[in-house]
Amino acid sequence: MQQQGAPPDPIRNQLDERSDEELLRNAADGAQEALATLFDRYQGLMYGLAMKITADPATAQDVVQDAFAGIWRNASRFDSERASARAWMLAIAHHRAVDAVRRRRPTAQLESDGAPLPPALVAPDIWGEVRQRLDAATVRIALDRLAPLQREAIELAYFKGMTQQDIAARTESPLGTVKSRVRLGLQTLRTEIEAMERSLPAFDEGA
Amino acid sequence: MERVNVTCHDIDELAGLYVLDALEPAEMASVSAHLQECPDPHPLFAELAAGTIGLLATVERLDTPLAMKDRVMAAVAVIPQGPRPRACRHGSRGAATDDGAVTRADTRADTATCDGAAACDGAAPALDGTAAARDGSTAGSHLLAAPGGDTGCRRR
Repeated sequence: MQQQGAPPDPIRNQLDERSDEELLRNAADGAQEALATLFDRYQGLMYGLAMKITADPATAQDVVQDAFAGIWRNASRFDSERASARAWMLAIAHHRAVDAVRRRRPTAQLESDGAPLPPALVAPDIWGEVRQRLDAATVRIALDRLAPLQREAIELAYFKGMTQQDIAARTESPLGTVKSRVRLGLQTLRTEIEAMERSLPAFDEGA
Repeated sequence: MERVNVTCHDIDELAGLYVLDALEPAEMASVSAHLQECPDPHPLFAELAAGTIGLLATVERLDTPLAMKDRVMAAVAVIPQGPRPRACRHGSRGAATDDGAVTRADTRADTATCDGAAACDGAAPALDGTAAARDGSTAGSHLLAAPGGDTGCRRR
């Protein structure tokens, strides 16, 4: 009988201590259990993101499955110099979700092949810690500080899967205006989040 | 897919929409290709991507149904993995050992020297961390690194 609180599965526990990057490398070497651990870590965030974008459980579950299939298939191409594992995996999930909602639109331009290509979601390592520490409410405050038209453009793009043409049509704005709203909004968001990060108490594991 | 020609000036205008994955597919492909080919850093992309990461923090986690994990793992079990990029002698990816450990120092040191190594499939030039991840399907490839395209960029 194991002592209470002892890890029930030593092998699994060992995997759980590995970084996302290590797990991706293990997955690239064919280790399915490494992918299973990544699933445990990210299924909730990916499904939440997919639900927010697609608003449909069956579609969102397909998105999660497709995302992990894509992660598995391409794990050997993950490059830790370019992106954190988390950002890379979530960019894949985001892209699958956006692709799913765009396919529902009769006017959407679809990609010509079956392998959607998400853009880089790449940021300096420092943001890894920031995004772990900031909670949703804090970022929501930062979002609320944006000019409403900037926030709307960003949210329509990221959470509704709209392209710049969709957003321009929806908001009755020229394309150039949509571009600059998105850019200025993201820059402001970054600045606001950085300021909040600085105001957080020093990171303390025990806190 | 028809590629739209984008210059360094255009590309920074598209950066926000790019990091939000909100460009039309042809534009998305053009920007990704430009980032791969262009010798100039485009730091705006990393800057704006950091804003995007903030958006993720507003997403509420939602557990998938319990059967989901089995479904995913069953699907994965029959999916062949993509070809492993050939080991890059420039060392930019780092060499995975049998136990999967990779020396971090190895992955850092020589990235820049991979630039222009046509046969190296290990990692493309770092582009200040802004190059496309793109589902991994072309990331880490020098396929697009050959200069000569009209990117409108200042050359080194």
